[in-house]
Amino acid sequence: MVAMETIRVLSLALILTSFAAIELRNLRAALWAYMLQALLMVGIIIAFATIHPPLLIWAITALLTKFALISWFLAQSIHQGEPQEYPALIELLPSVFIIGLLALATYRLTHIYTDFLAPTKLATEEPFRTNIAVSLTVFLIGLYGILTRRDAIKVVIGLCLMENGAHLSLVSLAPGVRETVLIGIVTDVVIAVGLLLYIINEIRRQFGSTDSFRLSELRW
Amino acid sequence: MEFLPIGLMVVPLLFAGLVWIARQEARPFLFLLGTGVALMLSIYQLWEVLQGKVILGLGEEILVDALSAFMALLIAFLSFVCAIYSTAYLTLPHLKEASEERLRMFQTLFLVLEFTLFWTVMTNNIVLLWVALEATTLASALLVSFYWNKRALEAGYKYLLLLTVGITSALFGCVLLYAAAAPHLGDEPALLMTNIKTVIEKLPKHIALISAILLLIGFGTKAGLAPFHPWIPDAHAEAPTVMSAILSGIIIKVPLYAILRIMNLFAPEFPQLGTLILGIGVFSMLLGSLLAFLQEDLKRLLAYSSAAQIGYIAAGMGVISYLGYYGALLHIAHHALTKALLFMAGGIVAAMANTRQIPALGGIARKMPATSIFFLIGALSLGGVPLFSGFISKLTVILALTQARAWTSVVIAVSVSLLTLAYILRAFQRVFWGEPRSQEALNENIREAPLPMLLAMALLALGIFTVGIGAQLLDPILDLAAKP
Repeated sequence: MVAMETIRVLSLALILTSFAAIELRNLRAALWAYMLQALLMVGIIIAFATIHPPLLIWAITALLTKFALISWFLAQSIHQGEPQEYPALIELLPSVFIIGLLALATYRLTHIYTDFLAPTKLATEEPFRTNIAVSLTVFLIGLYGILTRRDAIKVVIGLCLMENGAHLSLVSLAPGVRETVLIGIVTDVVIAVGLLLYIINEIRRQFGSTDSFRLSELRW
Repeated sequence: MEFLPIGLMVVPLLFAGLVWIARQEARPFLFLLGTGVALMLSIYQLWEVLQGKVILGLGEEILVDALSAFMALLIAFLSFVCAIYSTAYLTLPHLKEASEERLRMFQTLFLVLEFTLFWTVMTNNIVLLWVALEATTLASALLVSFYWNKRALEAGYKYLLLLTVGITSALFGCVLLYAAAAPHLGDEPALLMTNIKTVIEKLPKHIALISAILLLIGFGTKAGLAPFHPWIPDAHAEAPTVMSAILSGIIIKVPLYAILRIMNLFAPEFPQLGTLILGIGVFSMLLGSLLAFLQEDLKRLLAYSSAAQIGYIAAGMGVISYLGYYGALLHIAHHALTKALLFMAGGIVAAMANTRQIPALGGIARKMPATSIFFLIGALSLGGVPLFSGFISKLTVILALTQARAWTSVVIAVSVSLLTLAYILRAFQRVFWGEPRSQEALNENIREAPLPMLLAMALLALGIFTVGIGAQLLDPILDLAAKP
């Protein structure tokens, strides 16, 4: 039951870091939030590994890709430009309010109605139930970030959150899946983020900023 | 026969490596050789499958039935034709500033892309299907922004972001489906689509439905079905012409293949999914053709038209009948050949005249007679004129719609077909006939396309007539592939 309490606490912290990664207007601070989140995710997977030992290798994969590689890509890109992000579509206060409401509603709804989503009996039991709710919440916070942020780097951070949410849900939904499949998924994600940042770096060089609103030459 | 699919995947990767390390003069040759060997392997594979075999490899991880073999042949043929075209295209005057490094990157990534496409159509693993499909996006992203200027970067950014976000929903779908099937099959076997099919009626109804819808949204984004079409014109227009041809010809067809696989899994249990796909398809047809009709930019016009044409394919799949699937597959073949031909002919005109604006062109036929004939063949085929491939494939789709008594869809499909003929012939007339309307169109440098390009276009035109006049030649393979 120690594992269960740990998972609860870590999950709550995970949602808070997603929140911070999206809302902090300083990109370097947002990166720290993201890195903290990646570590928390590794922690959660390790906690699950006490219930289901093969998950330990997942934790190592997550540590190498989510924490080490992706953070390194992001850091490279952020340190080339201004640390302050371009103002988002929504002001800070309303945004915090909206995202808080969104996260709360998603979490409560998915936690209560897990039976509807969970494909197996096991997934409806704690702590898997909490895990599914948390992963969907993180996923939605990421999506919200992609939709409302102007700064391309912030959009990429949103994408990383989405992928973290998807990754975390695998712990409950597909714990038996073999490593090669997992590595396939994770490799895709790392390459996608790497390529996006590669293109964004060049956009910064040619357009003079990472403001995605300036990317408006192509209309219908 | 296991070596065939494995060979098909190894060969492009091997040649990608060779092209990367080879000297500059040897690269075009290796590029052609790699795609050529893949083409021969895929023909051999198709022949084997036609004997009624299903090729399994790596412990059922790889499964090649008629549908996979058909798609693999299409990929191999189009890649080969594009390789021929690119030997001349990549050295056109306006591309001379593209450094050797970038040309090398182009050829290497193109071969990697071919590998990911083969992988997608031959895997039997539901999660790896997602992985391979996302890999096609990743392999093509730098090809889309090959020119590395502002517009190309914008197109590449949007392409990568939209497709990656969209397809993440398909990942949830795959995982949910796998998780629901695992208790019935065991952890390992539940990854294979052939196994999932056997337990599909045992899965909880709502979970199967949710996962099917998530999969359809994800793959539909990748296919460019409306309302997820906005990436199509940007990526097609800003990419190099070879890439536009591959994008329209194959990259948007492979997710449709995935949708067909999903329909094969779910359709017997959930006929309502067919209605959904049919609706999206018809909506894409209407929206795509209207936007194409209003376009003044030649490559964007062709791109919007692609969005409309995949609507026909989706509509055919939505009918959920033998005839519907048959028509959809025939339309996939037709559109791959036709749109690649149109992009190749239109692309070389745009490159020579240094503008893509239709109002600025005119009178090109006098300087490029052969190219203009190829464009006309493509245009008539796209418009669905008899003897060309578009006629027979659209007819099949429309017949399937009639059979399903989807009368509204029939009316829309027929009128969209007429609209297509109108806008593509109007574009042809304004680009190739009449008097040059601008300085660009008068440019002295505009001359007939180089021989390799004409050869590539001739091969595609030959394909169009083969499908248009001798559709029964394709019948043995389509007959096997369309059976659910």
